[in-house]
Amino acid sequence: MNAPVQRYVEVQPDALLEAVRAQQLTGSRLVQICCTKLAGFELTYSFARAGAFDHVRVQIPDNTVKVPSISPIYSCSFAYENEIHDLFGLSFLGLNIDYKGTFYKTTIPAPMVGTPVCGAPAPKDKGAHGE
Amino acid sequence: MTKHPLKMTKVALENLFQKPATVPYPAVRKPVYAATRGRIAIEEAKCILCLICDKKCPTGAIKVDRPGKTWAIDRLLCIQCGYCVEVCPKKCLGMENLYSPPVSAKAMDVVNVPFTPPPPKPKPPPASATPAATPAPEAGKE
Amino acid sequence: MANRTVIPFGPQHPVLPEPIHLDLVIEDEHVVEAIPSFGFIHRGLEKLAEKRDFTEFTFVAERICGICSYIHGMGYCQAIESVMGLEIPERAKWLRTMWAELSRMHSHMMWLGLLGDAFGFENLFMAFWRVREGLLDIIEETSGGRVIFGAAKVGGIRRDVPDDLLARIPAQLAKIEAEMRPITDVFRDDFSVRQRLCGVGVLSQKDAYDLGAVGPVLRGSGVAVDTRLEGYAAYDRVQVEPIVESDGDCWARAMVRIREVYQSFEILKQVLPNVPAGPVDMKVTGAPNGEFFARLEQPRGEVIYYVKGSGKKQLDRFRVRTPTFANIPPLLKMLQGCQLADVPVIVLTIDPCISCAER
Repeated sequence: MNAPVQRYVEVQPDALLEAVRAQQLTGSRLVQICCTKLAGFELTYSFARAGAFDHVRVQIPDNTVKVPSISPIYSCSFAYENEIHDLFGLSFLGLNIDYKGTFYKTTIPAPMVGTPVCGAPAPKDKGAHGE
Repeated sequence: MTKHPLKMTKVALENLFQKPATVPYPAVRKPVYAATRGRIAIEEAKCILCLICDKKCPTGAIKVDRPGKTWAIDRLLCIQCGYCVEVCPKKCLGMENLYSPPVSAKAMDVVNVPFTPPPPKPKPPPASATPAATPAPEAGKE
Repeated sequence: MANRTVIPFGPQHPVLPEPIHLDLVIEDEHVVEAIPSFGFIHRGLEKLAEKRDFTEFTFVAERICGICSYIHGMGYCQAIESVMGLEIPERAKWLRTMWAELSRMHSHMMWLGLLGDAFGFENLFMAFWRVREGLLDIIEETSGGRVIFGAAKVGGIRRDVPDDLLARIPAQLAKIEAEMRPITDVFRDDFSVRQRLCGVGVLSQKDAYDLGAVGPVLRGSGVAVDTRLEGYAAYDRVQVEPIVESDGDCWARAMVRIREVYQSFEILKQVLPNVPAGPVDMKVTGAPNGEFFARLEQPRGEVIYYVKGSGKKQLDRFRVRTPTFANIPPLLKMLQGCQLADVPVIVLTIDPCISCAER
C-alpha cells in the first residue's frame, strides 16, 4: 500500500479559513466536507494532493454558531456546505451560492440530526435491526 | 480528421447481415449459470422455524410464523442477497439459479413447515422437497 | 444585450437516467449560467447506517448505485476493515480487484453507448450494449448477479470463484476486446462523432483541479490523478497508469473512458493468472471503533467512504462522497457559454448518477 498517511489537524472555528488557505497554498484540492453529529457537530474538511491526504477538523458546539464558509477559497464547496445546511441544520457565513435550504427538499428539517430515520415516526421499527 | 469515413458503414452492414444478438425470449431461454442468484428455496423438512432468516433478512422479505408453522417469503421484496442462506443453521435454505416467474399481484409465498417444537433425534435423511408454491425443476442448486 | 431566458432542463429528460434539474439561463442560443437543483431522490442511506448492523449494511452500501454497485460495497468493506485493522486474505484482494475492473468496464461501455444515444447515434448505442452483454455474462457467472454483484463482505468476499472459471475468463475477454475494437474506432475516427464532441464543454486543467473534478472528467482535462495508484486491494501489484487526455472537451472525456476499458483488459490479464489459492474470507469479531476515510477509484471517479464507529454494532456515522457529487461544480463551469443543443451531451459526459450523489 502506498496510500498516504492521513493527517488530522484540529482547529478552532475562527482559524478555519486560515487552515484551509494553507491547504490551498500547498496545491491541494478539496475532496469532501463531512459533518458528524456528536454532542455538537464535527466538520471534517478533506484535502488531497499527490502523496498527501489531510483533514482539517473543527468542532461546532451547536447550530446557532455560524460556520465561516470556505467558498471564497474553494468555490466548489458550495455543494457540500448547502448539503450540510439542509441535512444537519448548520448555517454558513459567506456562501457563494446559497440555496437557503432548498438544495435538498426534505420532509423534516435537518433529518440527519435526531433519532427517526428519514422522517419516519420513531416507534415504527421492526426491532429486529435495532439492537 | 476523417481518416476512415466508412468505419461506421462497415459496422452497420455487419449488424445488418448477422444473426440477432438477442434470443426470442419465451421460445428460447438464455442458459442460466450455476452461480446465478435467482430465488430462495426452502427444504421445509429440515427447517426448525428458528426465525434467524426472518431476523437477518435486510429487507424483511421473510416472515416466519412459529405457532402457525409456516415460512413465507415476499418474492418481490427479496433482493437475492443470499444472507438468509448464509445464516441458516440447518442449511435448509438455498439459492436457486432460476428467477421467480412474473406475477400480476403481490403475494407471499407460504410454505408449511412440518416441524414439531420439542425436536426428537434427527430423522433419517429428509426427503428433499421442493418449495410448495412454485414447482422448481432443480432445487437448491448452488 | 440580448434577452435572457430561463429554460428548465430536467428533472425528466431523455438523456437523464435519473432526475436532476438545471435552470439554464440562455442568451440567444448560448447558456450563460446553469443553476442545479437536487433532492428529488434523496433516500437518507447515510442515516440508515445508524440503525443497521455494520455487516448487514454492506447490502445497503452495494445498492447505493446500480452501475458502480460493486465498488460501493467494496469501498464500504475496505473502510470498515481499516477501522478494525483487518488484513483480508490475498485471494479475496485479487478477486476484489478483478470484480472492480469488470465493473469499471461494464460501466464505461454502458456510458459510451449512452453517449452515442445522447447525440443521436442509435446504432453505436446498440453496438456498445451488445458487446457489454458479454461482460455481464462473465460478471453473472462469477458473482451471481448481472449488475448487483452481491459479492462484498466485511473481511473478504462472499463467494469464491472456481479456478477453472478463472482460467476460462481470459478467452471470453479476448473475444469481447476483438468485438470492441471496430466500434471504439468509430468513436475515435467518425466525422459526425467528432463534430458533436470536439471542442464542446471544454474544462481547462486549472478549472478541473480547482473545482474538485474527479475521475475521467479530471483526467480528460490533463490531470493525472487515479486513486488506484494508492494500491488498495491488489492494485499495488498490478501495473496501473493514469489515462490522461489534454483537450478537456467531451471527446477527451470519451477517449479517457475508451482507453480505460482497454486498460482494464490489460489489468485483468495481470490479475487473472495471479489469483493465489487460499481462503476468501475471515472471521470478523467485535465492532468498529474508530474512524477512517477510504478512497477508491470508481468508474465515475474517486469515491470517499467515511465510517466512524464507537464499538457498537451500529455505526455512528457513514458518509459517501460520490464522484457525481464532486463533478457537479465542474459541470456548471462546462455549461457556461455552450450551445443549448450541446447541454444534454455535456451533462452526460460527467456520467451523472444522481441517486448515488444524493444517497
